[in-house]
Amino acid sequence: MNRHVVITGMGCVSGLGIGVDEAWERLAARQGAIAPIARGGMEGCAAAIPDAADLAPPAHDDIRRLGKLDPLSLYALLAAEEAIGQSGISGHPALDHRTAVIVGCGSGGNASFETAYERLFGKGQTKVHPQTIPSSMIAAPSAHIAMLRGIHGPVFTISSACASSAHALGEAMHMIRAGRVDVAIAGGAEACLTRGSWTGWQSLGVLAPDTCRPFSQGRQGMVLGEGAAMLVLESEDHAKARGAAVLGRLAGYGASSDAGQMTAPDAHGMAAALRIAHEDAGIAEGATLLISAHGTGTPLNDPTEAAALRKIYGAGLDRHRVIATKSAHGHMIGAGGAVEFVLGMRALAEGFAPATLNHLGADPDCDIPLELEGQAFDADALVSNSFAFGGLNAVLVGTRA
Amino acid sequence: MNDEEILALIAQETGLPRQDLDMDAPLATLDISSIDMVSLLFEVEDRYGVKIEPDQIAPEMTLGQLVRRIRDKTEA
Repeated sequence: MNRHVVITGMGCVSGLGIGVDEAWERLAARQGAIAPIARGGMEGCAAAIPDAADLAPPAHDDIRRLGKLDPLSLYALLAAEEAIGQSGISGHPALDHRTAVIVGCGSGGNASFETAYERLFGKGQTKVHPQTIPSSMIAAPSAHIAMLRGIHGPVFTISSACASSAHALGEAMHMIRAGRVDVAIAGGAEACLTRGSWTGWQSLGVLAPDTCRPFSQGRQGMVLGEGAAMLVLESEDHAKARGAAVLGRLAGYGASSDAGQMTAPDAHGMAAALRIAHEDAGIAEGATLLISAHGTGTPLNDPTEAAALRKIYGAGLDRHRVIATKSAHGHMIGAGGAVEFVLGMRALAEGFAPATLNHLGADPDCDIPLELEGQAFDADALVSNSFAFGGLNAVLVGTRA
Repeated sequence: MNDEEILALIAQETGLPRQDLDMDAPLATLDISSIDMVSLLFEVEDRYGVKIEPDQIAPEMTLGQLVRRIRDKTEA
């Protein structure tokens, strides 16, 4: 029984557009999505959000019937529907009991919470909408996908801050390998650009005023983004048996915890996750890698991540290529790992390393082979890093079909 | 509050397409969940200041009767 894990569908919703194709075309064309936004209380702040006109009202009648949806669930549903559509698994009996749904979310439905709190604490009202709890709960996106598709297997949310969806994909991979399910619909979603959430990030002093410049001189911090990415994962035998087209493989996963400080990154913890992921995937010694960095653009993350990469690859790092797509779609927190894995897998399949945008010049403390132009690059595997607050690290390895 | 406004609110809170809202249909056949009904009554109270208890809405009522109940309350 071959329980290698293959990818048969991918979906993505972000500031780069609705759908993986649109996101990839914009990314490859160096058209970043970071811009000043007009949301209440955040006017003029730099962020990357899906175009509201593309989202509301959801065209899909079945999605409307799920009830009042926080954007968190809507993003996850749209990405999952794209992935399921591409996989061709609609109507397959495995969806009933042999499929898991695992969504990674850093926080719950902030808009739903904050609307309720504004009524109570701002307007002095005493009642809030009856859907406040169901629509804001962090498990809502997972439940909504299962409800829409009639999935009766294991369904839950994983939360590990900015590594949530990388952990979700990795744990889904292990569930398939272990034979607990044949199929997993896994990824992540985040809807963090609400006034309260944004103000919290602002207070931490980690947000850049203008844009995200990973590994660059003059970088001033991260820029928040919203959206989701979901994948359909299957055991190789299962995908073959139903004649599904295979887009690539989720070949390895490494997870570690720094057990250090809440917000300061640690190169040892990062390197530990990288090492475990490489061993798990069995990456050959001479392999050429496309490395999708966590690359937040904060003063602290980037040199720490560069040090972790040097620790793992040494001088050999220079034959690989590093990309940092947060420069285009912002930091999507719980969704980030899945969005970056999807875009990285597309880059691997296309043989093209997309440019890291907004670069002002090399930082000697970030000595890595960073792709700045956007050009053809043939790699054997994708290594996708997610290093979260809490010192929670997850690294995914993807290979070609 | 006219019938069209009430129907728009029902469509919003239940997710049912407006064209599926048949005034002669009994509520039981429209597949409106209890949470959606509670949400609808919350919105009516929030916007128009009139309270209708969920137990005043029987499943055998038609949609038209529900709309009239809401309209009569808000016009009283």
